[in-house]
Amino acid sequence: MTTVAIENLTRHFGRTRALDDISLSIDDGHFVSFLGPSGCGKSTTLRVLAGFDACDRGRILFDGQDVAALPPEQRDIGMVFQSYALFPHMTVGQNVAFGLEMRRLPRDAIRQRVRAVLDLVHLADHSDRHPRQLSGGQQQRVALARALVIEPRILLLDEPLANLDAILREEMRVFIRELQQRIGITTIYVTHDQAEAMAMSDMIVVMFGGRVAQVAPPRDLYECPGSLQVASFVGQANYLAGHVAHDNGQLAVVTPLGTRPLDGRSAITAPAPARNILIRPESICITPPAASDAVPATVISVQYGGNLTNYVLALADGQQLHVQTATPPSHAGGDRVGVRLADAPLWVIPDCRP
Amino acid sequence: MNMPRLLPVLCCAVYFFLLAPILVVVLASFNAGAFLTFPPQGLSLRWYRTFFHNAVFLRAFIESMEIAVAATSISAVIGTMAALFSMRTTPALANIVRLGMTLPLVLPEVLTAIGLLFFFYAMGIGVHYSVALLVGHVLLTLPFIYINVSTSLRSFDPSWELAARSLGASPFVTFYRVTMPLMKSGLTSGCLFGFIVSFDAFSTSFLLKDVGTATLPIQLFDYLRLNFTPEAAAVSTFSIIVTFLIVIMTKTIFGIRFTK
Amino acid sequence: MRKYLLIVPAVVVLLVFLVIPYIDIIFISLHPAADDRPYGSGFTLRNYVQVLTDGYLVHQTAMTLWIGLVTTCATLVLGFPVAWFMAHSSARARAIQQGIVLMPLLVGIVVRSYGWTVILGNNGILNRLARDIGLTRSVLPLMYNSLGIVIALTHVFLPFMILPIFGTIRSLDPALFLAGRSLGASPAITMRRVILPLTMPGIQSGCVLVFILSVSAYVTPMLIGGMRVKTMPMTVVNTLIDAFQWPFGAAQALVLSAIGALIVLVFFRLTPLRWSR
Ligand SMILES: Nc1ncnc2c1ncn2[C@@H]1O[C@H](COP(=O)(O)OP(=O)(O)O)[C@@H](O)[C@H]1O
Ligand SMILES: [Mg+2]
Repeated sequence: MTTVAIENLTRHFGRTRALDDISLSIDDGHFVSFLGPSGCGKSTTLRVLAGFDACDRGRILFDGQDVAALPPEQRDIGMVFQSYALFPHMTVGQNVAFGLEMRRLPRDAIRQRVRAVLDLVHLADHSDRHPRQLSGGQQQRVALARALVIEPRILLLDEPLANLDAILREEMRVFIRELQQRIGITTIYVTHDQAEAMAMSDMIVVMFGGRVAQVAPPRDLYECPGSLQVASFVGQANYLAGHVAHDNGQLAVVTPLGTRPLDGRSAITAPAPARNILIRPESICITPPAASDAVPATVISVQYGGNLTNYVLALADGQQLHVQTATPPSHAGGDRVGVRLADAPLWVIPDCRP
Repeated sequence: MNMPRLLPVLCCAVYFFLLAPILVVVLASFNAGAFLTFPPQGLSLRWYRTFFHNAVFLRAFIESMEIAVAATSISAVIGTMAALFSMRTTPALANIVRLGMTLPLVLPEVLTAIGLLFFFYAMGIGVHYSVALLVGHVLLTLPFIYINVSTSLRSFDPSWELAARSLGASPFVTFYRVTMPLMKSGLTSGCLFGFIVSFDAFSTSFLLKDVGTATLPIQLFDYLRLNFTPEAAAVSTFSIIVTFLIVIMTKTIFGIRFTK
Repeated sequence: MRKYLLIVPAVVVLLVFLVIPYIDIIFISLHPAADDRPYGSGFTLRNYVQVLTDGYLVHQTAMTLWIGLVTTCATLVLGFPVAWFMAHSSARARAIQQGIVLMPLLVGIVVRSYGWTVILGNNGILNRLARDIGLTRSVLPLMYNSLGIVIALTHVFLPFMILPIFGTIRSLDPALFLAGRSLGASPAITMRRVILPLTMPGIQSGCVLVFILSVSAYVTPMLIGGMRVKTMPMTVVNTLIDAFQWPFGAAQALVLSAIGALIVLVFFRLTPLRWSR
């Protein structure tokens, strides 16, 4: 199938640098998400890949072939838009057939493939409807079918779930991911929703201000963020000042809440002073105030979330901690409690001093 | 909502006021007598017969049709392109374009025609070859095309064009298969409005017509200054019928609604 | 960028055939007349002085503007209730009424003015009717005066007043009227304090459109006035075409337009916009 390589992609809009030297390679059949806040250049990257926008500098290789000079219609891509962009004057069937007509397939073949792909998205009996007669989720699936039926080399999706309500969004996450794995198509997915990116991707590209901040699989991104900015964007985080020291011949991280081994994925190989230590809310345990090796803290607020409970605690020196437990609330604001770290290695945010 | 009793009565009176002169002209055209009398002295089609044998009026009618078709066609191309540009550019620039394109509608028609008259004399063309006349009518029709096409493009999602391109359609095929069908209703009603405005235009034609030629409104006007026979009413009714036929034909062929 | 090619023809047409000709009018109005050419060389303000000091022209300009103002008021007084009624009719009734209002626009201005000559003429329908029912023995002066011109112009431009006002009323929340009433205001007060200010944008565009159109109208005053009442556009055309005095005609047209524009500005100043959005 298809590998994608992006080399030194740069794009200016006037004085705004929308893309700043982006380089990346994507493996065949992988699901890669571009994640970042609004305006960081995700859509621009996708538009340049699709050929809707030119880049000032850089190369785009599909399977080693430079496509930068090709117009969009010759790049053999399937694209799903945030607004779905279904042609309102055509029926669902005509929408899906459009790309096949452009490829001058025989009528019978077109009919068969339209049927097959509509089956795939569970819309076989909606073929004669117009897009406006469909619900948001159904329109979304038509857009997906229209992009997939041409069997493109890569599938590009720009915030495709942004216009759906929360429940449907979760359903479609699963649906899209499953479909992608069944077909095995190389997919690039743009979103500003970190949960979505985490749930669906093989690899996540985090972008800030037109630059790539980190490229990593979802789990690595969450557990080993490369910077404070990435750590804060992906999930909730506490930062404690600490340092790396030798402990029984191993490198260990010393924090005000206790000492734990250094995460094996860290590049740190020698003791290091004054670092920012990442502590995720679920890595902190709440204990009775007098428990051994617990640090005293005060409950400031409690937020009940059904399966989870979120606490905001304050340490004696005033530092606030976000803590998440999988148990129903057992404390109230004002309670005195103790906190200790879970028994897991700790991640030191690289090159970041408190 | 409760309305004062008098309101419907007043409105009916106004509607009667709006329709009265048109009805009068239509009825007068079937007058059998030699003079405009009301009520008519018997019904006949004699003034239509006179009109259809009057080469001057027929030539003027053809001239009007020609100029309206030519001007509307030119405006259709220019106005549609401008409307497409407005859709693709920034809102600020689109606003400036909208102001510019509706300018001919806001400026006094007589003054614009005078300006064109001076301009074409300075160019050494004057009113010859109906060039000035054609340009004047293009200015008259342009705003209507632009406004109507723009309105139909207001809900146009630029992603539609991108989607077509991503599915393998060339820019030309994209325009033909996606953009054009979606703005067709606006373009049709724009052309319809433009045609009617051009067909009925007076001041522009009056000032810019080539020597020895006349459009139907001008011929009618000239005739009315000296004559009072019901032939003028027949000519008027004929031009009303032509306009309505065109509206109805466009409606049935293109299926657009005429409101808005 | 390729997309800018789309706007090039429109810019060229508007620049060459609208902007430049208007500049040309100003340019020509500042030149002296000449016998053998459209205008002579040299710069002069004499044409303007001539327009502003000629008592006949000043009177005619005032007359033209007056006719424009009266027509605007008449279309507003007739148009607002109609727009209101239309906006509050059922969908079906509204469609019919819209048809009636749009219909005159499909009929040429010459034809409509001609219709009025048939109605208002000395031997016209109204005079005949008045004589038949014995209302008067002499001829009612309905045509060949400014009254006739105003009647015909009101008819010709009424749709341009109704349609914008109708548009703004349609976009109003119907609950506003009820809200005004529920707060203890009488229908008249609700109308004046709530509805009128909110429909101001429509009223303004209608008034400006009708005023510009009626001040620069040519055909209708010509046919109804029958050369006995002359408005400025007629004089301008006479000066330009028949007398071939381009600079003087240009100055006349510009003075009329300038005063017209000034009145529009004053009108915008006087009508409060502060409620509207
Ligand atoms: N056509 C354009 N003209 C000017 N600036 C643009 C254009 N498209 C994008 N930008 C700018 O480039 C930056 C990146 O935009 P985009 O890729 O749309 O961000 P997002 O990550 O939200 O999709 C933003 O600052 C945006 O304002
Ligand atoms: Mg985006």
